[in-house]
Amino acid sequence: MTLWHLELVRLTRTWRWTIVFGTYGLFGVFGPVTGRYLGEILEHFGGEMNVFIPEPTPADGIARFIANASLLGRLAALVVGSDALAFDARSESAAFFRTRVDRARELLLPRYVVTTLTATLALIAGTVTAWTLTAVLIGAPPLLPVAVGTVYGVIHLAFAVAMLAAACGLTTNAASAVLLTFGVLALIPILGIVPSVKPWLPSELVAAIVFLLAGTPARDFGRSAAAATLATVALLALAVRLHERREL
Amino acid sequence: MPTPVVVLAVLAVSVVAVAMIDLTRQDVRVLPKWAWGLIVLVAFPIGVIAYLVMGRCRPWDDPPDDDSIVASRVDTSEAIDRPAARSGVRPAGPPLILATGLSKWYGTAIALDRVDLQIPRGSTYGLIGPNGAGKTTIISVLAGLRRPTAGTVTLAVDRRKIAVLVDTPRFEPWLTAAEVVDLARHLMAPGLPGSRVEQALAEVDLREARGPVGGFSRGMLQRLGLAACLVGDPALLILDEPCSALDPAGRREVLDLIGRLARTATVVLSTHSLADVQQVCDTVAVVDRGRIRFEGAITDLLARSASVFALQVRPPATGLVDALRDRPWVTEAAEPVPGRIRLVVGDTARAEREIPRLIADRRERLIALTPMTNLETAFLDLTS
Repeated sequence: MTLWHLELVRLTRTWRWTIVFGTYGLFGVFGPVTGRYLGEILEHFGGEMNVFIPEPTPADGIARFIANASLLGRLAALVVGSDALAFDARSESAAFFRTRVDRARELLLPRYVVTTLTATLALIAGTVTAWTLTAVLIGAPPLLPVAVGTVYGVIHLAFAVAMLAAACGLTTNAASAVLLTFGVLALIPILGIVPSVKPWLPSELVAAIVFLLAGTPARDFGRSAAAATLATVALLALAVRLHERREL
Repeated sequence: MPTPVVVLAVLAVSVVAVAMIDLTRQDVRVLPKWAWGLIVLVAFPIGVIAYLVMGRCRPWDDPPDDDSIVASRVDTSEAIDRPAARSGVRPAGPPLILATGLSKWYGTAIALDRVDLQIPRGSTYGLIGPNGAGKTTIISVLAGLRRPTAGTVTLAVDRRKIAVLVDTPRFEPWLTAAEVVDLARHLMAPGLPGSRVEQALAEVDLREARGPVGGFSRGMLQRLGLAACLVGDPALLILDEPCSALDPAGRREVLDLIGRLARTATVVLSTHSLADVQQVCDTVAVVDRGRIRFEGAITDLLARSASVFALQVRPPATGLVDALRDRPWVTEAAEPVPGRIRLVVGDTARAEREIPRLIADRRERLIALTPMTNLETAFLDLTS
């Protein structure tokens, strides 16, 4: 059994993959359904109140999916990923691995890649579900912006998981690492109040798909994507360094 | 030009980020870490202030409760001024591990104080000492899990040929025993055939163990840890309390196994059990309060403090007992059973020279002369 195989077994045997796929899948269904039937739902529960909802567009189905999945899907990916990336959380099992590899990166790389791949596949599965249901219920959204937006979403997920890896280098506790990562990810958009910084923020990629569907050119997110990619590499290097300096 | 709002926002984000980073690195008080994290994030700026004032552990707070940390605090200058610990007879043979001047500090608590070790190749080396003596810290430093504050460790063996077993081994609970050992084989010696996994499991009597290891008892986990060590054919085996969770039968099996391993590998064994050490080790180091009180052959340790002898002659032995009592180096001589004399001496070397001569002069019929000192006596002499 290799370290790569171990990570695949971790996901499948513990059924943790279902948490990530389930979250994205659930919102992949709910997004288009609420986008299409929101008017009817509010009318049904609103009693005598008159609610005016504009006619749903194909972009609404995807937008509602992103609005929910970007937050909770990311949280699910981080929680599931923390089980693998916080490998020093239990010093006894950490000793088993650490005394058998030369460098911490041998442990970190498969854990990072498998966690990111799982989140990526779950995001793609959720997007495909949302696109399909939107096409059935409202009308097919244009495919290219959805595909490009999903790629940007994947870049942001890779950045988020890299930040989790670095947080696991700072703290051995998995819950603290998730909390720290989630906190920092939540704070990054605040920097967007500086207009010159905003186009470079990785957080811009989260809802890129919505703006792309609204007609924003894909190149407008190029700087965010580049910054996120560079930050991912830097965070992974930091994670390796922190893990290698850590004592059990 | 950034507006004051922007400056304040950047400042706020920076303060929260610094507090969060500090939180991950510090031990905290009052609340758990995650709760402080939530407070810092949500209740800005009160949360940050509350954490800095109430949550942060001060340097003078208690260090983490770790068996490997000596509880007493010492002043740095005092520790440096003290003379180095005296060691016993150095074992012969080229060392596989040479540790020089190892010191380890946890804040102001000292766990190891200029420890020198020479672990000979092919030896079965026992590290013994009371709780908190520093055994686990030594093992951790030798295994590369902790860095010494000062000093060096020189290993004359490839890292991949070293297998380490911690005192309470744990593994991913959803793996099977065979998967754990196969993972260890892959990491330590991927070139070895997969059949080594079954062999290693058989050696620790776990071949029949099926199901996830999460359901294993502590004893089974300890044996599984040993199998994970054995599977890579290590040249150096570092074992921290390998028998601590085992029943008498399991203990016997593991000690036999260590005895067999000692023919092909160097074994370093940390234990509380002096009986285990006496049974399998040829070389010992006595650790106490972070210092080495003795290092050398186990026979030397026993001889060093031998002061009680069991002398057996053909009865009657009354005259011999009286003659012994007249000797100035004899503290006490008694014959509780005819022919069996218990002798307490003040000068061991003189006793070893003169007892046979006295028996010969008196034409007594000698059956046995045995030092009665056991390892426990020697250990207590060194550590009390």
